[in-house]
Amino acid sequence: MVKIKIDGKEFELDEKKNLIDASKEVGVDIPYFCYHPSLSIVGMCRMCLIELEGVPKLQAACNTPVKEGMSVITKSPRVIEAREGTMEFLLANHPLDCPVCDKAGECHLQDNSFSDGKGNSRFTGEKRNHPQEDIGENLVINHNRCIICYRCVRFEKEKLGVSNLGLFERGSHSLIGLTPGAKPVTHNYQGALADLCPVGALLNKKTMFKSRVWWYKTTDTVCTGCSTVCPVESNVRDNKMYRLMPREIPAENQYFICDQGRFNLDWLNSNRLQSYYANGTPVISSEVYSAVGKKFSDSTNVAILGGARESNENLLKINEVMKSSGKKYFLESVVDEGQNHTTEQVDFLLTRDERPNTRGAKEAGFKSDTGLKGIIQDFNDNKIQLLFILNEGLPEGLTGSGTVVLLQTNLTEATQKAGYVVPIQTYAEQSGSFINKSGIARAFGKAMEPVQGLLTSGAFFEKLFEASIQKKEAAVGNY
Amino acid sequence: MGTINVVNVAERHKFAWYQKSYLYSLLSGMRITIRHFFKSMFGGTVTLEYPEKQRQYSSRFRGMHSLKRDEQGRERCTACFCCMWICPADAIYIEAEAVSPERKHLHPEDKYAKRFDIDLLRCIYCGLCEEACPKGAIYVDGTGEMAADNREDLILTKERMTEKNGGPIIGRRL
Repeated sequence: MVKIKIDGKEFELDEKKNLIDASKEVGVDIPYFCYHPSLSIVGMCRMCLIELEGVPKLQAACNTPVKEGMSVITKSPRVIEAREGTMEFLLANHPLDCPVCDKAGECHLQDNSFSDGKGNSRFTGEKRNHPQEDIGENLVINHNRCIICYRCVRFEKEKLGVSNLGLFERGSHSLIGLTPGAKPVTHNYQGALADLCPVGALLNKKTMFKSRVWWYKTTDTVCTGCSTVCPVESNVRDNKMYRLMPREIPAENQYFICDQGRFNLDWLNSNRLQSYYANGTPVISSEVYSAVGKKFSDSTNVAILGGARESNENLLKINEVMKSSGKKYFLESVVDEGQNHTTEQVDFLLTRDERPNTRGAKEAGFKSDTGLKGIIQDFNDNKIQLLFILNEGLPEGLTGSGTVVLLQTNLTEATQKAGYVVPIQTYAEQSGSFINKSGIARAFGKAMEPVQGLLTSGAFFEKLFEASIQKKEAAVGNY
Repeated sequence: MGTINVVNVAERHKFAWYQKSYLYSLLSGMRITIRHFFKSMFGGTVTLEYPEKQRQYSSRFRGMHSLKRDEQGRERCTACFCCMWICPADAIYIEAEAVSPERKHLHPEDKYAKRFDIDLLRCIYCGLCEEACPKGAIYVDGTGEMAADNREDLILTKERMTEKNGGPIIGRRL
């Protein structure tokens, strides 16, 4: 920790950190475009210029190491003129696209020109015009809006090890685009490139023009695409999930999310299961509770499959209910081969296990000695009379005469096949936590409102247990 | 009245001797009536015979909305959502879409409003949408005559709202 002065005030900063990050922690905001905490430093945008006492020229704060006794000036007329000048140059060739650009509202250029820009431009020439192109199945590049900050090229090279994008020509003809001969981008980080771009040059086709960002309600949740369980912010408008944006945790070096989980959101909004089913026909809930409750109290062995998609709180509640019921029960969360490879990485974020809470389910007690095959075998031999399936597909080869109760969030073909089907809330409609592949517990909040009466899986088991006890009403009393 | 310290500052009007007679007040009222009678006989009435004669709206009157086109006949609206955001009554509903090659001659930029509905019953005719529009696309320069006999007709859709011919960036009556 070294002592430096910023604008005359003394601060103690960590000398291992970058000056921009360190001064943000103490409340001094230095504007920037090309700097990113997890990418290499290039000093290409010249927006973070600050004055150091004793140094004749202005220095880029992103490339200035923090030294003992340094005195930084961020409010002198020279620095203000430099920032205004940089903004004017960046806006000289930037098109007047704010009404049609998807980045409006979260655009660094808009924010910085409002806080540090001049307000008028002296540019009277013709702005260069290059048509928009598709460069990936999800990615679109608009060359006119690009401010050549080089973040996209650096990200691909440093984090992914590929070089699809490159910088061509120079001066005001500079262009960032696909290297000649390269095929369109197909990797799993096209959404991350669009997030990284500070302006609306790289955009997602999947969320293009859907909504303006100021109408979103943001909640801190997690992505459930794989067992890395990246922290994200969910954007919900009118109780519909529109998109997920990465939530930065600098201490864990967590800045990006991949495409696999973040674009798979339609199941939260459409085709939801909103009624109880018995043998493929919709019925009212009391029928299901009475029938399944009776089966529950009559059976000696009960098994529950799944649980790697449910939150820890639900799983612990289910375990509690089963323990207090006194039945012999088997819990198994591994229903898919991928779950045996929870920590095997496909690329730097994605893992082979596509379920968020495999490790959490195992720690909550959802581990049986016989495994999935053993439980199916026992069910077929009628040793298990009641089988619950938590938000997973129906396993193959179930031929026993016991009852199968499926807890689902969406309408699938399995809804017609299972004995009883119970609708439950998705992870976005409740708060809870998942344990990711490294054992870190990731908490998530409630982002959407469920349909009234929709229960979580834990609440369903509680209600089922009460229905199975068959309390007899006392006949005495003054009603 | 049982209040204390009341100072009566109003003087009760005192009638003069000629005003106290019955005929004075009668004749004073009749004078107004006769004056209006002669005024209407010689073409000074203010009654407007609608719908044969229409009223003259002032140049800044805020009436029904219309979406304008530019000189080349392309729609000015690019679905930027500025009007939908600023509308204090939540009367505007817009859905944006990318311009496909078949529609390229109708739109100057690559985003347009696939759906643009204004609920005339929610609208308060404040004109903030006209002020907010960065493209000069929406103006509230129509008439005030929007009567209908059902609620569906009072949701103005894009086809009913868009002008047929284009022109420079100025409202109808300015």
